[in-house]
Amino acid sequence: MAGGSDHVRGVSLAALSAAAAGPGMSRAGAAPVRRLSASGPGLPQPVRRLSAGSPWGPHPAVLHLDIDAFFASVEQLRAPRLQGRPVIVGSGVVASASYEARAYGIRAGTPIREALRRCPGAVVLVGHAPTYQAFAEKIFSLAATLSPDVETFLDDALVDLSGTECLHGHLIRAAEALRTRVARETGLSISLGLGTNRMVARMVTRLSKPGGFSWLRPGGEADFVAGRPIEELPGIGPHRAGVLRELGLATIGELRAFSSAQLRDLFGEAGLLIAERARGRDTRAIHPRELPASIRRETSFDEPVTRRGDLEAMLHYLTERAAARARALGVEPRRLRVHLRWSDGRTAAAASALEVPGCVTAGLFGVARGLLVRLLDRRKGVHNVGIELGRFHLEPLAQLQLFGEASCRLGGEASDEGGPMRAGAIRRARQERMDHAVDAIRGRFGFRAVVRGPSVELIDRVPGDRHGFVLRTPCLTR
Amino acid sequence: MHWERLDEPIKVRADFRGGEITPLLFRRGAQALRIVSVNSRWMDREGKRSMHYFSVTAESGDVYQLRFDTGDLTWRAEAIMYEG
Repeated sequence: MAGGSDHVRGVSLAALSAAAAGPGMSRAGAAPVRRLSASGPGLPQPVRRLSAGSPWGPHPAVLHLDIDAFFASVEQLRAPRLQGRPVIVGSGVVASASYEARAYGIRAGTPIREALRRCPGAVVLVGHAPTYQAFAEKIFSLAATLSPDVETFLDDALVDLSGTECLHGHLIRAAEALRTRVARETGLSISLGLGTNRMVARMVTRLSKPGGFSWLRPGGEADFVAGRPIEELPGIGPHRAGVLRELGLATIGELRAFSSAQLRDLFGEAGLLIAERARGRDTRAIHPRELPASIRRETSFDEPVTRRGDLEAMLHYLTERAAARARALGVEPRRLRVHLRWSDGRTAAAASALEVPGCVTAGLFGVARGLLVRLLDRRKGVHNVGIELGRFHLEPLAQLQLFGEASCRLGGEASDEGGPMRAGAIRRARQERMDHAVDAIRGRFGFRAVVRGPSVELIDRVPGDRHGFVLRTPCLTR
Repeated sequence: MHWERLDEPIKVRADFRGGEITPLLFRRGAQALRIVSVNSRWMDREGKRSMHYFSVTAESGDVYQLRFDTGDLTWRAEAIMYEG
């Protein structure tokens, strides 16, 4: 591998990331992280002389793929005039920025106003989530040709390649072929990272961006992570990083001076995971079924809305969208949050733990409406409203009915004891069946084939397309 | 620069060879527009119908987004990109 062609650059971690070289990096001159670079986005060069020997053997293998500047790259594909120009996708804040825009320090989350101050010539596009989803699904379907175990996110995916070396012959070649195929079939550039666990694969991908491929040989994990900044360790957010920086810690390797017990004292149960990860270990499996942190649907209004009925109609539609997504993923939320922004810019939010976890639209909307009413305590118009489902559970938590709905009804009629509970279970079961029937109809004929509940009020007021009602500022990133 | 929604039915001359759809020319009103390049293509679904999308550059230099619906075999000009 090290003796590659002109197109293969094998460099040490230290060369890739100054000041990140850990204590084991110079071991026998080994270069644990290798990188293939592309000459330009979407145009990876052929790899000609990779060594025939397999570097992986029986070790777990996780491939991480990340679509470079995803939304902005799609927009540059759709309109060639945008190529080479700074492109920003988002509304209010930047959801995605092209590499030309990033040169001005613009990142996801930067307010659009600030982005335009830094780069007045940037092209700002609102974006179109269904188009991005179509591109992502295409790329993820190509990744699924390597392994059935693909865990997908918005613009990246983890592919479990463990045990597939006999099938693919050479994992690195297989991954490189994937990168070439994605570029050929979609025109998009992806970055790849290969490691023995998901954490390392993700960290290695960062070294590949944009449009490259890096991998870390089995056995090099502890040395590799040791030299990385503490902020790169999963589980270390800005707050924890601040705590550790105050303690004088800068790299992940320095975290090892703390025992698991000390890290638990510092960060609670998460400290135990952090201690493991600081040694390059991550035993989390690849879940083909996506388990998102949250499902969020929101929109703003052209004019501030003052009528409660109008807000409830939109909230019902957003709840339907979020609940349908949760049902499609097979997850059940245990927390619901409603948030809004008033016309004067002030924000308010209220959350509720769900007593009965489930994805029944009517049940979720009942909770959401209660929270909304609680929030509407000012004589001001509302500029933005949204709902967020979270704390998901992968498996259904609801108790299965032993005798089915008919038996429950008979039992309820025969005895007053437990009647209301049974009636509630019957009602919930019916609502679940109704939701699944509506999902099936919409799956076949489009979302607006069935409009129900308070959402009906939106029909004459909000334009629609085949994906549903066209929201002013749909959430692109969740 | 922004996309403006058109959503107009159009007639398209297209090549369906090799399992790939390539629009060649489309008629918008009285105007026939030759397609000089297909910039990108992607597929989406509406229920069980496949929707094929194309970003194309017409010989006028304008960039259009076209859609082919496999359900009723119709074409639409979905949007046009404008400067400004």
